[in-house]
Amino acid sequence: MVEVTDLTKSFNGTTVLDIDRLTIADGDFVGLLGNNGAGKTTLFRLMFDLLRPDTGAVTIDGVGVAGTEPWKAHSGVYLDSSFLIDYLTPEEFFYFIGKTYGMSRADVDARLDTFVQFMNGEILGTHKFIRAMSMGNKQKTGIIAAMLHTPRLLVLDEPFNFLDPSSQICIKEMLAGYAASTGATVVISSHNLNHTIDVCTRVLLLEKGHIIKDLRPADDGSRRELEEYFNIKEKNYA
Amino acid sequence: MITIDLIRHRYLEYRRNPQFYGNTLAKVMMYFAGLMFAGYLLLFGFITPSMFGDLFPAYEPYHIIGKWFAVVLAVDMAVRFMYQKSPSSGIKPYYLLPINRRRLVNLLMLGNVASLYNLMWLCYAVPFAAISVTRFYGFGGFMSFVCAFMLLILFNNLLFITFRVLINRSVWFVVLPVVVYLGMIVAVAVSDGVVAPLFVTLGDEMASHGWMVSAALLPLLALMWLAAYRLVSSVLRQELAATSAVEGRARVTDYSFFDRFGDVGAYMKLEMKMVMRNKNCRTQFILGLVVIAMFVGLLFAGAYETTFMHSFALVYVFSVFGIMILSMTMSYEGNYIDCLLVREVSILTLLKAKYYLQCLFAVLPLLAVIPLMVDGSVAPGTCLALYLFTCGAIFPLVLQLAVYNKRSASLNETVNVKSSNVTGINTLITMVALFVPSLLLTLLDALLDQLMTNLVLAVMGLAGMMTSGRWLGNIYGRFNKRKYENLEGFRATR
Repeated sequence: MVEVTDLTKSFNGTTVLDIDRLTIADGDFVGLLGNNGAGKTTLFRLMFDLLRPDTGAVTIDGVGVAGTEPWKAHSGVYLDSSFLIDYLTPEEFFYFIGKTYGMSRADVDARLDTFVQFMNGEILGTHKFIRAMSMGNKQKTGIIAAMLHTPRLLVLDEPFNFLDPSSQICIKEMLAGYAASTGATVVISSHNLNHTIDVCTRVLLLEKGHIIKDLRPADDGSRRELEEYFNIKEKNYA
Repeated sequence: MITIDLIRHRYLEYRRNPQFYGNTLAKVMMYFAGLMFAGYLLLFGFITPSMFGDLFPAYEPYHIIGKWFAVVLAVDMAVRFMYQKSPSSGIKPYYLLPINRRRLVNLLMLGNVASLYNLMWLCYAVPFAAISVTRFYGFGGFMSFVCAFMLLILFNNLLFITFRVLINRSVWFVVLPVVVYLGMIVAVAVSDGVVAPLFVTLGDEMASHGWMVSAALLPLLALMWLAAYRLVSSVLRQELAATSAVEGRARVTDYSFFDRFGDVGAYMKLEMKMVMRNKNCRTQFILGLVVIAMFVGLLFAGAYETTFMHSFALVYVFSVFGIMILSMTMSYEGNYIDCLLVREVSILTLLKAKYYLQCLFAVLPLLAVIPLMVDGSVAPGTCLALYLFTCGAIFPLVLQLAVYNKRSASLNETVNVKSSNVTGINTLITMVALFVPSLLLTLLDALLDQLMTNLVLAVMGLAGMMTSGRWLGNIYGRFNKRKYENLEGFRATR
């Protein structure tokens, strides 16, 4: 599905991403783990042609993303609030996004029905512009918009951020169900080790722009390895 | 001491503003504009005394400057609106810190009033007073005149703070300065019996008893300061207390009329919603309407005597709306550009929607000039030709900025407002769009008869409109070539 080759990116002389090779297969549920500045968001931006790589390339379904369009039709992405048009109501935003993928209003309505539990009655029918919504509800709106057209590749940056505990559990189940039912490739990044281990079938550990571990959390050894890595990093500030 | 830190932060805010930081051209242009303004003031300071003497031999120059001081204040206010920031901007990070809030607001207002811009007026007041006041009232008269002059400018500065804060609250307050200054100017112009002598007396008193005028102005300044202080404080309290969640129930208009235009229609709806639902875009829209109404009024009153000025005003009526909105192309979208770029050909569709919508908006000036057509001061053919020329020649030029604009412009923010999207290329294209068509119209008027002039303009406009798909595609292609650079700029200025 996704191929990354010799990908590097530097800002002001500091290399923030350096990946020799990465393959994400169809149906993979990948979690990117890493501390701040590890390069997770940079990798996502490069994956979707929102940043110019210094070297290397990313391909989706064998097509290089740089300057091309076909991959856009079957990928869904939500990285941050710049993926929201905040002067629209959530309904208007979903209809607009749906239209860009050729979905009718009825298609969008039908699709939104599948997110009823996740929306928890706080998104639709509130007569609020997105900018007037809480951070959590903005996050939910962005995630739903990314999933609206049932993409074969779904990428979410820190999807658990701003969500209350119930919604965090809900989104874990929702993403796992989505990946299982559609066979889609899902890539998420997170700082939250437990959530990532719970939901992902594969975990990539990033440190200073390098993938230092490629693990399968189902395996107890991998889980322990990840816990040890993050415990080592933990300092006692008391 | 915290006060010094705050002053230093204001200075750093200015120095490190994304508009100028690392942008030498913008810096040079800003300093150049400042020098030009100071130069003009100096020039007028030297020539107006003799000019007034020739034109109004019964009066001394200081009487005339007093009589028309409202014009000085109006010019000063217009410049402030273009360049001076609201004192409330940038206060948010400090407001919840353990810093005395009164001191904070006072300091911000002081920073605004202590702006170097105010001192520029010395370039006018000093030569004017030296030439026209000194010979009657000596050095003391000169000093007191300049002092009174500058206090009036400071008073205007405080009025600016008040207007600016009110306009940030609701764009309709823009009517207030227009009414105040236009009211004073019209009152002086039409009333020779009451208002005009009052202002003549002001000029006389500034020259003969400048210190007394200054002394009288001081309590007025204090009162104005207090009023501005209370207003700034209350607005800040309201803005800071208001979380985004209390914006309230949205008034939603769907503009479903555009649904019939397919994908482009969806983007036209988006554009309409952007203009109507965001404070800064809506302000531009309303200001555009106000400017059109003003220029139509001036044309109706026959205020433009030269052909060039008449052409300029007429072209301005048609193009100002589009220039104001299209010059910000992609800057507002910079706030959600990632959302658009991860979807197929969205930017091209967006550009088409922007263009078609502006062609639709350009009908508004066409309607506004109907009184001029009825009046006979402008021929209907000229208006139609200018409409076509605006849509087919001026808009394509301004839309080139879609390639070069790379700074996100704030859609609503007023407390921590970002500066406008003025860059070298933006200014250049806007200036060309404003002045070249007027020159062309003047030239055509001089060389051809009216029918041929209209025909040339209409043909140029129609050619541009009919080839819109082609040049919009070209803009889109060039946008894509600069995409990464622009994206970095948008992200850095969000």
